[in-house]
Amino acid sequence: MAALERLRDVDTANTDVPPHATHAVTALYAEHGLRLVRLAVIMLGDRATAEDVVQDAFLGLYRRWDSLTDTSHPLAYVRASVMNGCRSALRRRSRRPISLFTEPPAESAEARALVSEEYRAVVAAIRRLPARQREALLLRYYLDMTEDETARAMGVSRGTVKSATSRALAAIGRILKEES
Amino acid sequence: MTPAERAVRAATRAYGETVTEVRPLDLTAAAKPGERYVRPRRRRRFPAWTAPVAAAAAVIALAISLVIVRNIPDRPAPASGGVPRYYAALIPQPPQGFQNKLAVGDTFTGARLATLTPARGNSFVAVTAAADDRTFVVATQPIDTGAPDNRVPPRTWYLLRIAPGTSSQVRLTRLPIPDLKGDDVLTVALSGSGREIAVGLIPDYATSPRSPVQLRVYSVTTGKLERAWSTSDQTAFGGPGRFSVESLSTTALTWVDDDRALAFPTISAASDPLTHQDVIHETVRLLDMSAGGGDLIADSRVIWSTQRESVPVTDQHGLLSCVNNLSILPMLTADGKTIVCAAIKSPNTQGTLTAPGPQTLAWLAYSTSTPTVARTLAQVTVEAPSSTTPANDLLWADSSGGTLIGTWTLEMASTGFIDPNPPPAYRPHWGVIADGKFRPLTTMGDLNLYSGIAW
Repeated sequence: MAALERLRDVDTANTDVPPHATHAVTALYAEHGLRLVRLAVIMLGDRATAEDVVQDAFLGLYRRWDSLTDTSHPLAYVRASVMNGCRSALRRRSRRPISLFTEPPAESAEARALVSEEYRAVVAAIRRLPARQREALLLRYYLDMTEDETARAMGVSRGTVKSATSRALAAIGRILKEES
Repeated sequence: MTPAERAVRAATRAYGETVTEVRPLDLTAAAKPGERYVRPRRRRRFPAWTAPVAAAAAVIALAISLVIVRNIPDRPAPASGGVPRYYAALIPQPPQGFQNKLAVGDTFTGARLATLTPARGNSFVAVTAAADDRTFVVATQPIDTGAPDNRVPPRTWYLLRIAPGTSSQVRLTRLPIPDLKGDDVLTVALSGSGREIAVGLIPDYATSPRSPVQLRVYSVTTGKLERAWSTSDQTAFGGPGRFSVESLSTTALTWVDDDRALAFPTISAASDPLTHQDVIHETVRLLDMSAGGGDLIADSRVIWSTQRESVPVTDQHGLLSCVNNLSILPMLTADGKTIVCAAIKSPNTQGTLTAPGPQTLAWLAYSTSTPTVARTLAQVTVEAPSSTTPANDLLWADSSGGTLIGTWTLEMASTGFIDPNPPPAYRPHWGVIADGKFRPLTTMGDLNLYSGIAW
């Protein structure tokens, strides 16, 4: 929990960022890379793509370090990049209609072994949500961000966050009920 | 916190903790792109001196593409009822869809007149049409701009002209409109005459996301900036992040009244002091080009507005209205008298659109003289299997809103892989909407996939 709080709070703190981009970005990755990969895995259900998205986000931060006007809040920047990367990946998946006969991403052996059936059902339901609802839900309840923080991270209004979250919770309840 | 919220929190954390390690960060892929394996979607950053070479390569690649242009059919087009004959569409390419090609086709015969391929590493990201159905402006950009948020600023602009019966039936000409690198470009719209192009954007968004929203009008032939308006109100054009990937909106900005005015939407949310619910407020504003001033909001006026509570489970489920479909913005027709939009009605009690069962997709019109009264131009009822999301879109409207072009599609919610050859039930259904009916445009049948289209 403490780690999650650090992830959530660091972008509002006045962090002392090392001056050199390589050092700064590597340190940021060491501290937050794993948590961001976890977030992307839940978003995408595909570890390889999740790791690609997070790597790309940090590479983007690294390449643009000199042009950033505010390098004191790099986590907010890279987190937004991860969310946008996930959004793009989901958009690319969903842009074309998908066959009902196509298998979804395989669940990892770790998940099958370590996560209860009930929790796996909840995550599976989350993955059936439209991307925006899924994103709002994870920012709110996985990262414990407030509605305002979630709205800023997603680049939408607080009302949209509230609406998306409400719809998502309702849909999850219905999906789980249908499948029980 | 409700039981559902607790379940989501606990389940996501338990699932996340199954990932215990990640591969090291490889910054050398960014620092020395030529020396290491780079995943297909990552692109090298070209040094500045290569820009002219890249531009020349783009022209060459496009010229090569034009060699394969088929002859435009010389038989007369079927009765069109005012629907433009030719379209230009951005077509994402397999395997991952990072590159858009540009397809030029005949709406009525189904003939594909040309497929244009941008230079290696580039993608078409914008397409917008004039009123004559023969003139388009398109733009390309390098697939990876280095921006972490996948913005798609047009970098290189081209004029696309269709000239049936000539030796060069599809012509592409480089335009001097400025490179918008680093900007969050939300929408582009070519004027009916084809002489001017309007661009809605947030300048320098990557480094200054709170920059004022701007509307700029450029001369197509000279690239000169003719007019500009700005506002700190970021609700204009639907706000940042609304159109953030792969292609730009072509309906969030429209030219009206013989190109003397521009119409654009705003979307905002505010708390209702009585119900304490957030209320989504959507407007269409009209900007008179002949008037002075440079404030996008102060110098424009609201000609249509609607609102609803943002939490649909309270009382708004099942509502059929423009604002029920926030991803599709309302559009003012060129005569300035009618607002048209695509809308969705969900029959289930939770307002979610992923429920199985019949769902109604509609295209609505509001007269600006009676802006609260909606007319249903056409609707289709779709039987949506579980885990699918029916979606509809509005792509073109004639000058009075009497005839539209739209699509509806049955999509999986989000999970799964891309299927390049979906079963017929999951392909887009194109149609002309007029006289209360959705008439299928079967000739568009081979266009199973697009990320932008203009008529």
